[in-house]
Amino acid sequence: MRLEGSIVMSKRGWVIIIMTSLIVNVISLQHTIEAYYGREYGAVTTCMIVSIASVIVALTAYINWRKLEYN
Amino acid sequence: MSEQGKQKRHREETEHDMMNLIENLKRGDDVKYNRRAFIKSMTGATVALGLATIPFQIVSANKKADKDARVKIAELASLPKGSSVNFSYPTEGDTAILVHTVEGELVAYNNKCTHLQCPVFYEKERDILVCPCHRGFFNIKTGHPMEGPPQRELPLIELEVAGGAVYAVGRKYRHE
Repeated sequence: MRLEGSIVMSKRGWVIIIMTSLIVNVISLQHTIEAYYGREYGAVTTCMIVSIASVIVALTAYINWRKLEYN
Repeated sequence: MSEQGKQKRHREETEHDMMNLIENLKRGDDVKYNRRAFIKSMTGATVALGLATIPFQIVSANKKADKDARVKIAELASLPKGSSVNFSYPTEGDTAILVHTVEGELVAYNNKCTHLQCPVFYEKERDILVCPCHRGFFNIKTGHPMEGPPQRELPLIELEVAGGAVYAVGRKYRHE
């Protein structure tokens, strides 16, 4: 990985990031449901923030992967 | 080329396995199910799962916290050891059970099973809470599931004994 204004990474690297985001979101959704039924509304908010951040990371990774893939 | 001509052109010339290696290949599947499609689906699933948390946040933001009202449940004298009584707390829709255990402890829980909301009953013989619908068992001392499908504990009703009467004074969803 090299930082020069934009991140340069291999396609495999971006795919690993997408896969990690998927795992994070599966776990986060499970915790959200648990927290919701346990009426821990603070935890619901935390999990939602983590999920949204993970979605943004996944979309960024996808866009970068697509650039490399269809180049 | 006529349809008959095409069939002749693609006709197998031999039955030998090594000569017909592409017979099981389908171009449609190759286009649909490939590495690119897999990565796109994975991204889609990530986005879908992430967005699925938002409705929980919206609903929970509109929910109000329990008001810790003090509600009289029963006279202690009318509740001998090994018996139970049903009541509602904190609202009429939240049914609950107060148990005077065989050991003499007073415990109360909301009595909707955390599996599929069936009512939970006290079984004196085993000193345990039972959900008869799918044979779920809860520990009488903690309200935590011991056997069967329930995965979460029953909400605990906090009690106070004053002047020979038992009062409900609060509720805890998550507890030890």
